[in-house]
Amino acid sequence: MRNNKHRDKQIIQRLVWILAAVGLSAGAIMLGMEHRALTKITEYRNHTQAALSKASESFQALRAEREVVVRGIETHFAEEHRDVSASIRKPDSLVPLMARCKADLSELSAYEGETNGAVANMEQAIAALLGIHTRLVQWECDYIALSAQVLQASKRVDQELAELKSEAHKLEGRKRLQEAMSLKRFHNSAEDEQAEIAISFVKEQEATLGASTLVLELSDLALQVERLRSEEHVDHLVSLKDNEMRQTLRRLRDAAARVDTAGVVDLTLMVDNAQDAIFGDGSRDDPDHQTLMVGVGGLYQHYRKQLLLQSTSAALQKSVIACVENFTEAEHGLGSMLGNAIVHDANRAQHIMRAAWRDALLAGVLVAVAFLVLTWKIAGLGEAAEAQLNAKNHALEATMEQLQIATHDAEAASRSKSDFLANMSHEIRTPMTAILGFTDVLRSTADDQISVAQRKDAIETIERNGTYLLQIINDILDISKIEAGKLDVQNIRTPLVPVIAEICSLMKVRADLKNLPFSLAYTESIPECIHTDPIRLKQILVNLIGNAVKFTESGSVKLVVGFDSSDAESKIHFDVIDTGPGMTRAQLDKLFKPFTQVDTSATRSFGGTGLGLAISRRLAMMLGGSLTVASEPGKGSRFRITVSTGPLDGIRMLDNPLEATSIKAEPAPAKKDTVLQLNCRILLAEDGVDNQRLIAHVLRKAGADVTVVENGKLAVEAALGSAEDYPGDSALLPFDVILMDMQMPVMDGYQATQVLRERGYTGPIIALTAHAMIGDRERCIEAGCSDYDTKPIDRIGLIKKITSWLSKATSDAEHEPALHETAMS
Amino acid sequence: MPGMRAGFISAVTALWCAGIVTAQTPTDPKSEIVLGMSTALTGPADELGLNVQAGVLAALDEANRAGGVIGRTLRLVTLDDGYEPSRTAPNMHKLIEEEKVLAVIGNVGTPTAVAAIPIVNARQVVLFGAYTGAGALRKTPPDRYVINYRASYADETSAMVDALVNEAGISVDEIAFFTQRDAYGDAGYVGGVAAMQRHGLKSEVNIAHGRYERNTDAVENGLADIVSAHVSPRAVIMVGAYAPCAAFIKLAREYGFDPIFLNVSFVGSQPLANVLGDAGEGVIVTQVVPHFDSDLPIAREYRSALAARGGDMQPTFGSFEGYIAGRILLRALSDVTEIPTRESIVDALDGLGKFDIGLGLELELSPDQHSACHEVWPTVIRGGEVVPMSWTDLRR
Repeated sequence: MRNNKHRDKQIIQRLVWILAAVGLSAGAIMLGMEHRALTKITEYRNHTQAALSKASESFQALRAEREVVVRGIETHFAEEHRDVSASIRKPDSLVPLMARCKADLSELSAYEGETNGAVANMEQAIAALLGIHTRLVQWECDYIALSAQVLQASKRVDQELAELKSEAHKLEGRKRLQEAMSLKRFHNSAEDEQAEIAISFVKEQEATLGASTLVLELSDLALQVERLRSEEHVDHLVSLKDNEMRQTLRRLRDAAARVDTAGVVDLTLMVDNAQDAIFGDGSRDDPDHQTLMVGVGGLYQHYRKQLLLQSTSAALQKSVIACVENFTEAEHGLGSMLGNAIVHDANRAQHIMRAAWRDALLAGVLVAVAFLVLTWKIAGLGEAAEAQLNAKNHALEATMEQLQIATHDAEAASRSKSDFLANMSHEIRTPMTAILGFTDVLRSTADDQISVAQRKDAIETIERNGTYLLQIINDILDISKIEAGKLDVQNIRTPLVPVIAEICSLMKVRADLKNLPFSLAYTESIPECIHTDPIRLKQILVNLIGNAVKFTESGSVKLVVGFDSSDAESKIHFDVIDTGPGMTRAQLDKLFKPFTQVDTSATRSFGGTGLGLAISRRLAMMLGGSLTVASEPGKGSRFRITVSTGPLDGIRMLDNPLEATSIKAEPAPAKKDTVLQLNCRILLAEDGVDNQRLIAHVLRKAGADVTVVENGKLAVEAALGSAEDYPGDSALLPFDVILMDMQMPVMDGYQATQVLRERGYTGPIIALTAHAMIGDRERCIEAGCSDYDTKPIDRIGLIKKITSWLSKATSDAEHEPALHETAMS
Repeated sequence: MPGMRAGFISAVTALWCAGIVTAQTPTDPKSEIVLGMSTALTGPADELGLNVQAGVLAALDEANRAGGVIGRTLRLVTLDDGYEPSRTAPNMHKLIEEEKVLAVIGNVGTPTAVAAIPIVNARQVVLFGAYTGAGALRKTPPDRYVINYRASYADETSAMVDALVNEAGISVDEIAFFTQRDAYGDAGYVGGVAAMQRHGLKSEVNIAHGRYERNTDAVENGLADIVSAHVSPRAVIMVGAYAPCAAFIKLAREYGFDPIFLNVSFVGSQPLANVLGDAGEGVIVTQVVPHFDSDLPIAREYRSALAARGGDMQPTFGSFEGYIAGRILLRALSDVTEIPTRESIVDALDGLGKFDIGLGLELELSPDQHSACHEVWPTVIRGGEVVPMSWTDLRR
């Protein structure tokens, strides 16, 4: 079976490897194919992109150039007219840019139809712009030329007028001087001359006036020339010329003609010159048509032309704007076409890319999966080995830990044992001292030196301490057995009510002694019987209730019995509740420790060995339960023993157990005064001289016939005695009961009993043994004993035992009543 | 070997650099002081402009020959404004912003100065020793950046009036004015009237005041105005250019009008004398400098400096004034301790306090006193020459 499994595993592994390899290669192939396709597409796309970006670039350049040109035109109109070549950038620059743009666009063969339309529009727009520019330039040139002419004419006019003015002023001045001179002469001459002077003075005054008129008209003319130069409307120019300046010039000429310049200067000529400068060479007055005919050149003509040209500037500006708008429209068309192309191309590219990505992803997933499987396998193999190693490591560690714990425990146990021994020896020595002491007192004191009461007191002290010592030893043995795990507990069907009744009766006596009310209660129905060890149960209850009674001065002691079937294992619990002093937390902690009583002073006042609770607890645990305590200082304590009931199949529940429990306050049976009858022949095999005397005395006192031998051999001989011939006949046996000490020299009890039984001895043999360990009883029974009793001997218990065996024998041997009587003689 | 080559190249380079540095030292722009002038190198006041320029240059050359001032050489940049204020303004901007002159010296003309003053105040460059006596350059308190050497027209006409009244015994009613119709004429007139008021003139309205247009010789009307005065003037104070003044004097003599003619310094003494010829006999011209032929230390230094310039420039009052202005500026410059700046030059001029430049009298320049000299020296034309006179000569 193992081999098949292994082979299967191998096949599976191989399959996995193959799958992985296939996956990898498939993935690789797919990737390769995708890569090739992608490269091709990328190439094609790059080409398109390059063409697009080139076209975009050249378009941008075109647009930028257009902006510069247009801005130049705009600023030109915003500012005063300056040198046109500086302010308006020649749109010529647009032409090569357009050509480049066109060339780049032609590479985008995919968009041929659209591009052609947009390109044609652009070219048209550029041509229009160029045309406008030419017109602008022309206009500017004309304007500048005219401005120059106007300036020149202006200068000439100013010059002529200034000269005229100067001459007029000088003339006026001279005339005034003449006047002044005449006036002076007048004042300085004789009366007859004065009239003559006066007449010439008047003439001079006229002349001065004429000169002043000339000056005045000249001022008027100068003003009118200023108005001419600042006139904004062409129509007003004509009116100014024909209505005002014509008149002024006429008056000026008249004035000039009238003034006598003494031939120094020809004023009329100067006036003519001035007129020519203003209205052109050869200008003359036309009185028939009431106009001033303009001549050639002159400020007036040039200025008029300039005005006319200026008026066309608005129209020109409008056409420039329209042209620019067309241009920008065409530009937009081209721009949007480019934009569309770019978007379209981008979409296609995106689409292709997505498809490629999808395929690549698939391939990638395949490869990844294959890879994962591979690595997992490789990792798995390694992991298995690692796991094994780890497991071994853990096991080693666990073992180490256990060893450590065991060592620790052994040390602790050893320590506790040392402690225990120390405590033990103290507890034993104390009563021993009392016993030996008082024995010594009794022995060494003469009868007349000591009163009966004193003797009694001493004997009582000895007995009390002996009892106490026995108690200590029993407890120590108990606890040692428990610690060594050698104490055995029975698991027999135990009727509860009788046990409880017995305990209560016993304890009530003690409680009555202290006038403490003792009560019993059941909290619910209890099973009639449970599977437990009655003796040990009694031991625990006696211990606890005894403690309760012992420590409670006033109040009450209660025993409450309950049944708990809620867990898997049903349990009986006994609560011992007292109203004693209670215990603190600290005291509770020390409670179950051996040899620790609640209070060290309690030993003296209350007695007790200090082992009771420890033993009770262990016993309770061995009975499948526990011993717990709750206490409140000043209020009292509650001890709870739980024992498991064992299987309860077929066991009746008692609904009213209290009624069934009869507690009697039985007076304690007086130990010493009880006389029990033993009419029989007893063989005592005991090597200890004291014990021989003690046991023989007790039995003889009870009326038995006791023969003592000191070892097993003698016991065998004595027991069989003359019954060698009567192996199976009990009536011929010399003894009714053999009490066999198991520990004897020469031949011990076990051997003796065996021999006897082999020889066919059937009579009751009761083993007397100091051993109380588990297995001892069994050993005795296996050796052939009928029963056993432990040393130190309980007088009453032993007699009872013997009695019970005798009655058995009697009932058995009802057929042979004669034997019984014979034995008595 | 590469190491040696590098060493060789660096040594050559170092030598070359050193050569350039040393060669540059004399022509290093940082080691010269640049001065500016906007004046009439052409037009009706050209002789004046050229004369003043010659005087300033004589002073600067003299200083340069002696190693410059504060270790720097001096250079004058002159721009022509033709006695036209509309040309003065751009000239001033050019001098200040392009030529970066530290000071402007010896500008000629009142209207041109009036155009220049706002510029120098705004740009904080001193206009020193302007050849004009107008009040616009002599405010109270004075403009920080306008500092003068010469006495004002008011000083001149005032001196004339004082002399006429005190020495010639002429009453203020008998004093007439013939002035150029502009700020120059106005300045002279106003100064004279103030002096006349000091001598008891009741009302300005009756003063005989003839005027003529700048850059013309249309003096007839002005003469007529004066001649027709209620009281025939016995003295005419003239504030004008030499050509129209000469025409006036000739015409006056022609019409038998023969008062004492007194001209302010700006008229241009020698040109006036030249044009007048015989008609110039006895015409008085006040000066703001002593006669250039005098024995004063400064006059001697001036004559030798002018001669050292070469050419055939004859000493004139204009160039003497230019020279004096130049000398004062140089003295102030020599007081500057660190690198001369426009501000430090002003401070230096203000800091001269009372000083003697060799004029035979104490001059004063301080933050409150921006006219160094208030003295007026009278001269008279005799035999076509301008010769010194004394006011007491008027006591005929």
